[in-house]
Amino acid sequence: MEYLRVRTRAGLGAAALLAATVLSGAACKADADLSGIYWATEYHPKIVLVGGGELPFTAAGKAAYEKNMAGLKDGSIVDNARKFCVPDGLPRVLANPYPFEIVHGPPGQTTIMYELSHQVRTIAMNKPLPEEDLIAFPAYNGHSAGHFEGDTLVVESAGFNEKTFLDATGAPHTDEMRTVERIRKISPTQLEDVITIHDPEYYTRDWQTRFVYTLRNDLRIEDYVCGEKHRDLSSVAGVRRP
Amino acid sequence: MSKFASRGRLAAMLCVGAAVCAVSAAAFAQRATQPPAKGAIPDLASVDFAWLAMGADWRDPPAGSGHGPIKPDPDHPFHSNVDGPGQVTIRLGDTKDPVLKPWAAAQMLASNEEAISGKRAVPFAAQARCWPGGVPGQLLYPAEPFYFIQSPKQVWMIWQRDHMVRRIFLTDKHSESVTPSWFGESIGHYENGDTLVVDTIGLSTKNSYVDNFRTPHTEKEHVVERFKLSADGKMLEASVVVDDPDTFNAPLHMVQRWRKVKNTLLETVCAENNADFFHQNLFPLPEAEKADF
Repeated sequence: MEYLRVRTRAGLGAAALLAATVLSGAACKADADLSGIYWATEYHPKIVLVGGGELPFTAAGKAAYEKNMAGLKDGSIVDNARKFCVPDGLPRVLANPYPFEIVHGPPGQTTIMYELSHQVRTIAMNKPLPEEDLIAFPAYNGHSAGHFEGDTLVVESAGFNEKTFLDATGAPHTDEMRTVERIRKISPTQLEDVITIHDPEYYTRDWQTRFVYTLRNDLRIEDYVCGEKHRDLSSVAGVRRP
Repeated sequence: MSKFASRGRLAAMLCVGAAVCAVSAAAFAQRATQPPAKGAIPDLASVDFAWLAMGADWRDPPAGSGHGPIKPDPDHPFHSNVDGPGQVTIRLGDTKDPVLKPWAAAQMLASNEEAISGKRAVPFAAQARCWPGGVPGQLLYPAEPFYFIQSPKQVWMIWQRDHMVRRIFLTDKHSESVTPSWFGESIGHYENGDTLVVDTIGLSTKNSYVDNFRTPHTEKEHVVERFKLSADGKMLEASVVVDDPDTFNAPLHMVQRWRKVKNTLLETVCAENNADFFHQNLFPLPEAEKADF
């Protein structure tokens, strides 16, 4: 077979390279290349459901939402993602109006780096979620494991802490939330992320929301520090700066 | 089974759901983020290992290199909490170092006096107060590791603490005009198969210091860092030159070292549990008075 032939003819160098590839879980020849810098062209502070309608709350979910909304309004609950620039969590970080970049690397990982609050999501490729870490180290942006299905990067995430909202209106989630994203190019210059939210304590069924981003390799991701001046967002419809 | 079918089946078997993949070396070089041939560039990036700083202060450069890093004020020696028995002290820089321009020495003196008087009992340190460390200050972050990502055109350095990211563009020229920013504009290249050379300009000055003694700089600061991997691959050493003719009478030369650790990147959020618990008038964290959007 071809790869064996490379191994025996090319000597130790190529064999070592392939061994390193094999051991480190590098991107498959079959994997799509999603790398690049992307930027949304629209922003929605409230989740827009695929298929329309309102979030399908359970009684507990509705109560939690009302508590969040009231607290945000009277100031007893602080939106720490905006005030202290702690990570936004999922899916809120997917909605944000700043650019982000996807890098297929290091081998065995896809890394997504957001300009907003310099957030970093590491997606372990072709490995299961580390169940023991999900409880021991709950994270704002959760823990993620991904694999390719054809041209689509499928990312499962869990191990979220309860310190984030699903969106800017305060939609709630529990630390048992699990999400699945299907990320793919829908055109040479557009990336789509459809995320399914599974959180039965607060929602009567799984639901999806969808984001489309424009490939913008003409940009560079900029440094972001909480409270400082940042890039012009006037190209993103729906952004209101207080 | 034909040779073609068996090869295809092997590829399918290897690609689906496993960490193994049969790719030709050429395809690999084109799309993956590792070097095209082992030994051509230093192997700095991995999901399995990271680099942990061996100290939060600059080391002296080799003898004859030129002026070294700013040292502690001899009247206020620095005793860290990893220096063994003895009262821990705070970092107060030697403002009498003749390499410092008068304005820089005066600013450092004011910072020292603010700390000594108790007005700000613990002086500013970017890492502790969730501000970017800038260049080269970010290299002094201890306790939590940093990670590289290497692609053919770019290198990323990601610090676990607060997920700070430096980006290095593997190109040979800076942009025509650079708007100053927290980490500036870094360009770089590899040398000798074991060294990453990084050249940085365009560094903004707000809350930005070249060390943990609050040694300041101006926007003219120009930093060259040479990150060299040890022969056994277990240690990384950066030789740093800081050139700022408006701050220093001669370039500063300093060294930082990291050891390789088997850590995966965790999420740690600096602003969590970072209140002024002991009422020391700590420097404020970055905070948005109004929501950014």
